[in-house]
Amino acid sequence: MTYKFNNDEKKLSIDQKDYLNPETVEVFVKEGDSIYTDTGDYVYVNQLLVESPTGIKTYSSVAGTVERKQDSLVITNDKSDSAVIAEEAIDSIEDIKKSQIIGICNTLGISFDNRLIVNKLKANSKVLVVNAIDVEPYQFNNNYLFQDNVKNILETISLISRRFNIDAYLLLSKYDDNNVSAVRSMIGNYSDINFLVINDVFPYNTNGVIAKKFFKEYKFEEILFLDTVSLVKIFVALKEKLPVHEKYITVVLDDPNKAYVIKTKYGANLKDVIASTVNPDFIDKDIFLNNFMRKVKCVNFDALTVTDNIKSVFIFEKDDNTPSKCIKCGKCVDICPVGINPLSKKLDAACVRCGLCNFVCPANRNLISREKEEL
Amino acid sequence: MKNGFVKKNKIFGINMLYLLGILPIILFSFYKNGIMVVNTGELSWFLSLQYLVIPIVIIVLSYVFETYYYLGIKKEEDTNNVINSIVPYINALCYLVCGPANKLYITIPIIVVLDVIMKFIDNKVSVNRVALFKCVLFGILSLFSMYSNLNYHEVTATVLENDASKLFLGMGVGEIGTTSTLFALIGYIILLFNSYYKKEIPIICVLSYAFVGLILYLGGVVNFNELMVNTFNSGFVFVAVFVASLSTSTPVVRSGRIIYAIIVGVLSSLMVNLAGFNVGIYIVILVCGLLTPLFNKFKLSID
Repeated sequence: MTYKFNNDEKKLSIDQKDYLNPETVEVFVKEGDSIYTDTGDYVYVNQLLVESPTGIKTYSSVAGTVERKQDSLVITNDKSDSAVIAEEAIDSIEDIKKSQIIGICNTLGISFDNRLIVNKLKANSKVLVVNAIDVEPYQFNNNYLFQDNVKNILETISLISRRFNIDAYLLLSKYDDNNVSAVRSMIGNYSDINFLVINDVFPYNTNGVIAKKFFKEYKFEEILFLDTVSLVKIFVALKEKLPVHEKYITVVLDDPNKAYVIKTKYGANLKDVIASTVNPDFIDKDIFLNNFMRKVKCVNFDALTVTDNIKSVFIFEKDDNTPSKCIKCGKCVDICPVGINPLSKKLDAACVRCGLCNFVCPANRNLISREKEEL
Repeated sequence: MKNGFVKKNKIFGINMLYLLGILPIILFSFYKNGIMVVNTGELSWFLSLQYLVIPIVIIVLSYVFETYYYLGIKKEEDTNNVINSIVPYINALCYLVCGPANKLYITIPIIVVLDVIMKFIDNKVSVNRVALFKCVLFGILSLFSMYSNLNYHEVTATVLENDASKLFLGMGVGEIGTTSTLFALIGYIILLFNSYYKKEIPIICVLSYAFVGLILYLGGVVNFNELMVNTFNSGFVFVAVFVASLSTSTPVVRSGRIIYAIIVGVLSSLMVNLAGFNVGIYIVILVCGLLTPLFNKFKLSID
């Protein structure tokens, strides 16, 4: 595919791989969580494991035996895929009412970005904006997920728009040829969806910038922002009354012309997923999560599991560049997409942490180093 | 495999380009204050070499002092800050704004003292060190009635150059590096290859300077030849290209840079053409440098 990064359009080779049968799945538990299983129990796919005080529910993505640890549940996958008997799936979500949408999402406790999706739906929004673009650099998860679910996503957007009585907009990047063509061929059946193909790439495709550029007439809080992952979760919840267990992650090594998109299961050990599919050398590497330009190295990589928070993994040769003093060249200020001064003493609340200031800095400084190291 | 994402630290390369930008000026100053004066018999070949050797020695000694400071005093473990220091370039510029009949026993200590003071305050205040150096030097030399921009030949010459075209080439009286507008422009062209050089500052400075000059010309305050002679004699173009655009003491915000450059250009023009006080350019730059934090707060729609 064609991909634009740092003002440079390039042909990118993407290798898609599956890792849908992890050896183990781990679910972290926090204080206050209700745990519905214990060591020695056998759990089925879709079985409820944990519920947080906020109502977010975690279900088992594999079948197997549980081992309860101090702060997690580890399920050893027996690869049988035995699942809890679920309600019968419905043929179409077209007739689902607003109260049912909210009810099902609430009952299943589905979440995205550590927030209950139902809370987002319940907020008094005036417009629905589906940002189906992969927001972080060198991520292609939404691209692939969208390809798998074009019709489902359009149906869900249309349903929400009708039931919540709000205008709906679907945004795709012009570089996303396959999905743009697919949507264009189907959009005629969904007159309530406004389809926008936008030229901008990272970080001009973040929600904040999109809101300012295309939806100026609304306050940010009045916009219901959903993305591909949350729409697929809503669709599967409505149609099958089940949670989603699979997700895509992108893995990038040192070559900027190649990326790997791996379909795997929530809870799988991240290192195992990557080792089994891409098999890179992990020794003497700098590992970054989600956005390498933030320059926040991952320190606890071995223990990480696949969650909604992890979208991409960058595995680079160790960087021996040390930062030097700021020369006040102003490149960071010029490139900032939200127009703030990264050199000011306090990190502005408007900072979207895109990391572009770090990327252009000739002195290799980390201008958003106020962040702690990511786990 | 070499990483296609991670960029190398570029500061050393940036600083080398800055030094390359002043190289033509150093060579010209050696020609004008050295070779030409040797030909008049008022300087020996040996002494003429000072205009070539001293800037190189200043640059080298600056690196030595940086090494002592970072590795000896601050006890840093690597030489990163030494190699990437802009101080050698700044010190070379300080030398270039001295008068040709060098009083090294005054200029070198001032350079050293200012360097120490800047390190002590750890660059917490935005100060254009070259402008500060020139102001301090002017003050001290004036105090002892020693201030002069004449070289060893010009001291005895009865007729000094007043032809604007020859002044443009560098045949006028001025500091070691500032007399030739032509070589300042060559330096500017070299610096354009440095993508971290604030190239709009000299352009806006010169345009603002020219605008005020035009007003003075139209107002009958100066005639065209006087305007040209004043400009080329003052070394304004050198100052605009090298001193006013020093990245460490200029605004980082684009609109701030524009306002800074306009103020420097306008006030410099008034200083040179109205007041006839060339050192005033450095005072303007010094004050504007101190006001850089204020300029950084300007955000216009062009940003």
